Amino acid sequence: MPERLPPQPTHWIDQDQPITFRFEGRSYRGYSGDVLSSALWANGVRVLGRSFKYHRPRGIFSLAGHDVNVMVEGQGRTNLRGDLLPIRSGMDVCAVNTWGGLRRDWLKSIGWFSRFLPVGFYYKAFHTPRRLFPFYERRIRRISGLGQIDPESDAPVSPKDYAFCDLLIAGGGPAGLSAAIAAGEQGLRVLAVDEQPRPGGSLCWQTGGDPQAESLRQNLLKRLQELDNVELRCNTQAGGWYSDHWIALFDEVRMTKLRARATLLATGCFEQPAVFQNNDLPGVLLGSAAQRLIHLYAARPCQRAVVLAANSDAYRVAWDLHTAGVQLAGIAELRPEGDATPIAQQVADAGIPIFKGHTVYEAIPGRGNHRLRAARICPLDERGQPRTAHALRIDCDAVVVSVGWTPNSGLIYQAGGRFRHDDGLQQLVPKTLPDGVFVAGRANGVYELQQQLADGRRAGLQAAQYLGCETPDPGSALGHQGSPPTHAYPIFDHPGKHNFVDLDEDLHLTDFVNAHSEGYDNIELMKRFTTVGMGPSQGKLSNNNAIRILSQLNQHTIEETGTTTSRPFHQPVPLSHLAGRRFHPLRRSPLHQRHIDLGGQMVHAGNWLRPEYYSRPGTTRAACILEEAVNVRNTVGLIDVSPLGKIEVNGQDAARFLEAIYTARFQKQKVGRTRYGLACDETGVIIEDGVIARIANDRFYVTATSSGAAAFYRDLQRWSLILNMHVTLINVTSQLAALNLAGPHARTVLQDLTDVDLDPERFPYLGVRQGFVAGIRATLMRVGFLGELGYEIHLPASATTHVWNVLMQAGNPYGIRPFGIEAQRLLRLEKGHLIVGQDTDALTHPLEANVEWALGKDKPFYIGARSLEILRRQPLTRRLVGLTFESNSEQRLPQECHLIIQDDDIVGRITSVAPNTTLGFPIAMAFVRPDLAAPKTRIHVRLDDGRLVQARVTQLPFYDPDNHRQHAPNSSNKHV
Amino acid sequence: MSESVIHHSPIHSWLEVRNPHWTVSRGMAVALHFGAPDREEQSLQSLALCDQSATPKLSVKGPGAAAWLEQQGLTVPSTVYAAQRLDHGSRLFRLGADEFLVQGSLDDELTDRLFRAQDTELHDVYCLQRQDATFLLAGTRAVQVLSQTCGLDLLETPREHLVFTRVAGVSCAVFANSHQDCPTFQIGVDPSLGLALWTSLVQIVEDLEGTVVGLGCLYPELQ
Repeated sequence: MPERLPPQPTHWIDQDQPITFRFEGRSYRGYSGDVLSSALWANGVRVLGRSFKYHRPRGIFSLAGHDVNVMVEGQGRTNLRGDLLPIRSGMDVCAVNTWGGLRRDWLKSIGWFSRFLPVGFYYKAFHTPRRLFPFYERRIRRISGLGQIDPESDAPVSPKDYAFCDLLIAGGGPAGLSAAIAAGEQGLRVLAVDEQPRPGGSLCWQTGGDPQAESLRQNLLKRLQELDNVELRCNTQAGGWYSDHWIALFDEVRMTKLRARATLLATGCFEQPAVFQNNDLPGVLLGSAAQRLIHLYAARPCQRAVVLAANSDAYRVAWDLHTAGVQLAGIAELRPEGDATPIAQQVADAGIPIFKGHTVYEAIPGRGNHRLRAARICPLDERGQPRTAHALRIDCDAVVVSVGWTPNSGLIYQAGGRFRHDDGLQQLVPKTLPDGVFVAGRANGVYELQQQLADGRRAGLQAAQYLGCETPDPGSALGHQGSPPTHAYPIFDHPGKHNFVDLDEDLHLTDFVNAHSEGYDNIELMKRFTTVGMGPSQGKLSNNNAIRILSQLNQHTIEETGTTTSRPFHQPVPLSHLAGRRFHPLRRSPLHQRHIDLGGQMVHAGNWLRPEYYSRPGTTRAACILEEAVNVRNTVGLIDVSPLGKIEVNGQDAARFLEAIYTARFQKQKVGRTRYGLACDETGVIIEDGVIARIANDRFYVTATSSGAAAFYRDLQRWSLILNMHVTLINVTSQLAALNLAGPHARTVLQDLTDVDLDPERFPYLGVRQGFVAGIRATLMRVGFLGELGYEIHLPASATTHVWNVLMQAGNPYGIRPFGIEAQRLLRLEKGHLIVGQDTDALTHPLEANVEWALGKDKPFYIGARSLEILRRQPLTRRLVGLTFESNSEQRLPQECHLIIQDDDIVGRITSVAPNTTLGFPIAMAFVRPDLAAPKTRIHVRLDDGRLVQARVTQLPFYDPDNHRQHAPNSSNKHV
Repeated sequence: MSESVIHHSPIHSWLEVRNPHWTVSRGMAVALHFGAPDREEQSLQSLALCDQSATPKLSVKGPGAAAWLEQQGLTVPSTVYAAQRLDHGSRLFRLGADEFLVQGSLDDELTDRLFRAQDTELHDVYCLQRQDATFLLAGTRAVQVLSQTCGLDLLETPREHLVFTRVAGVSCAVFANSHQDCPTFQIGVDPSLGLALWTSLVQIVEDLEGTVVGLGCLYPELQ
């Protein structure tokens, strides 16, 4: 490791724990605590990645994950940021977006044509001819992009979790730690998070030779540890701020959904690049990156450096480089007056040349752009433009840039904060903050260390006051003293057009000038045309300069120019973190396992899992369904109808209430009898149907459709309040299970198992009785939904398996078989019974759905009655009818929702269809135009392939129109 | 299981696959324990999940419910969601102005007595023997399971209060309590969603190195 320094006082690596890893097929050594970028840099590797578009070589730039120069993939994961990726033993990764390896990368030839590929080129060149666009798109995606997702790789499940605190502090730097202590001392439950592996923020690396920094950091942490009510989480970033202090936190494993009562953002700032020729090549890096290399990873950034300076931080960088053994070839100081701080004097006293009023005009690369050979610096004229005639070439292998900062403001914007431009800082600072949001430290424009601590304390106390604590006077926010820490316009034109503004997207200065000349003179428009800030870094290093460029092109101020919108997430997060565990709860009947054991093919029916049919070896799905239906028609079948909605309506107003809800009458309904109930909404649209059983004078038992039960129950609750009726509603949908025993032998099978007298005289069709079935208290209803003799047995859910087993055993001599929901749908279709939600839609009213008979005559009120009266006076637009088809097996049949066509117009649609029936011919129900609703009318249905199929309108029902079978047929009566 | 089984827990199929030691309580098959009873008891201190669906539950609803319960000798909680401790570990929860839930224990006949006591001619009181799945999450790490599944800060809820929330995407009633000084969370859920919730909880409990335990840990007298 040629560039490894001796151990540093604050470094994060453990030099006693060497780690071997592979990069681009070669083996390297690093230390535990190294990230990929630092380990490679310490090994003398300078080319760590390739750029997005021109495939220019790239190296360390921010070493903070604020750029994506170093993006790698391997072992099933991609787009991993080398700046943040800890090395592990056995790690084997390659750079993304190369062809032929990182060093060779044949796609670098695109860069030779960069002059001919200005921003907007794609939009203009590839949109015609349209048919070729997919071809172009594939090629473009192949040569300019990020990593490839490995579809074979399974991401481990990432558990999300929830957390709660009084105060979230985002940022564990000096201001954040100070704020955490101040708020914690007030007894608040504080959670402080920092994205770095260790807390302390800039105290860890921006020391400038100050030995007090580390002891200050240790003191802060010691005090925090004493506070049991303060939790500090490292390696955790606050990725997004949502309403009411809901913050998404991300660590390596999971997303935490944090609900805080207040938020304190001490998020610091990002160091910003300068724009000069070749400012992207390996060897050009930010001052903070150089300091991180030295102090966190004990790696020498370079051998001989030129520093581009515009603030006192640059001199701390220079001093750190000097101390680390780097030869300082010179400091190009953008400010003509230079820097008056003691650290600048210390640097000057060390004999390091300082070129005041100069800029780095160009970084000069060696062969292949893989390393720097020199920097060309120029004096600046009074307008700040480089005087190239006076350029000076200085040999060096690095240009270290320290020209200013921009606040890490994403979360502040997301929280609703607004910013103003502070000319004294040359930085945006918060102007207004929403309730419960506080900002401290550099994000607040406070740079000096002691002031940062004081500002953190001030914000921590203010947050505590906001949360109801009585605190000492927090004071007011402190202002910045001294010269601006940020240069107003560190951007220099160059005819070479490799002076990059956005390193993610390979956008150089001329791209912005061109976009502006084409009319994209608004920051949001320019962003979308140039794609500035739309790369993986989300503009952390580019937005600030883009705004400066546009403001100068428009001759506007920064505030007039504005900023783009900040949206979560602040840093990209793995999709697996967002997915988390998969919680998709589905309802299951108590018989779920029994169905599976019997071969039930489970399907989603609403939010229930139900058996579609029961498979039999060697039998097709269609044949199984038909066999099950035939069995019901001929002998007896048993179906689990537990998902049916079941609601008790009790109380002195129960009958009156049901009369208001349903279209039928119930006040005179006899105890022990059931009635069909049809419910409409206020517009007369059918919303529910079911059976209403009167158990006692003040007790009704109501069924509803499986998928609509919960909503209907809520509706009933709402109406009971609106109508001010004395009813007690109990939703027993899942508390009770229900079985439907149907078929000519149903009575015979059931009679020996119950104490209820099933004699048809004493328990007639549409009757309801309560008693015991197989020793279990149950409610029995005589129903005819399937067109056969049938008993619905409603019983406690826990006893369902027991009763099912007893019924199946008792029915065995009669050939009982379970049947699924497909057979049920078929049987009810044959009987012409509609299913609400399938044969009706969100506009269907009873007059067009053939259920006008269910409307109570002369009822003074029911929900929807008035609308139906209006509809009754209007001509119908459609009518539900039965259809039959030629039973020719060669003929293709329509499916549900296929359209009915007449004279090229759509005149209806299929709502239900059954190709195989117990009747021996296919049938359907459909909405058709009223003039086509007369029996025997021929209509045409269009199939998916455009062919038309002929059908004939038929009177409903298709089966047993006189209802002989459901009334009490002879048990030996066979239908098929 | 000499007593005949006619009732099953909503998660019976899951329990059956794990082949526990069974017993029968109140006609329901009950998983007594899955492994060594003493280890299961230890798990209750760290992290354990137990199916308590066999415990009887009775809902009492209607305008006359509060008065009727008082007539039956019970002290009725005055505030909604508050719980009243009863004998034998039973509790009476107030779910609304006119709605109550009696959570019995396996060795108490209270719910049966109340159900029998309801007079069919009595107006304005309606009882229902509830079939809800009831799970107990116990141990010092139980809160970690809830932090992965529930968006509510259950540690901040008042004592002896029932909380209606969502756990792993399922609407639940959660009651925070303790067992031998360790936190417990009793989760009541609609029986049709019991298996969905249970499998989610088991996955997380096992990821956190907890375990599923039988009801014998909580009711030694069943063994």
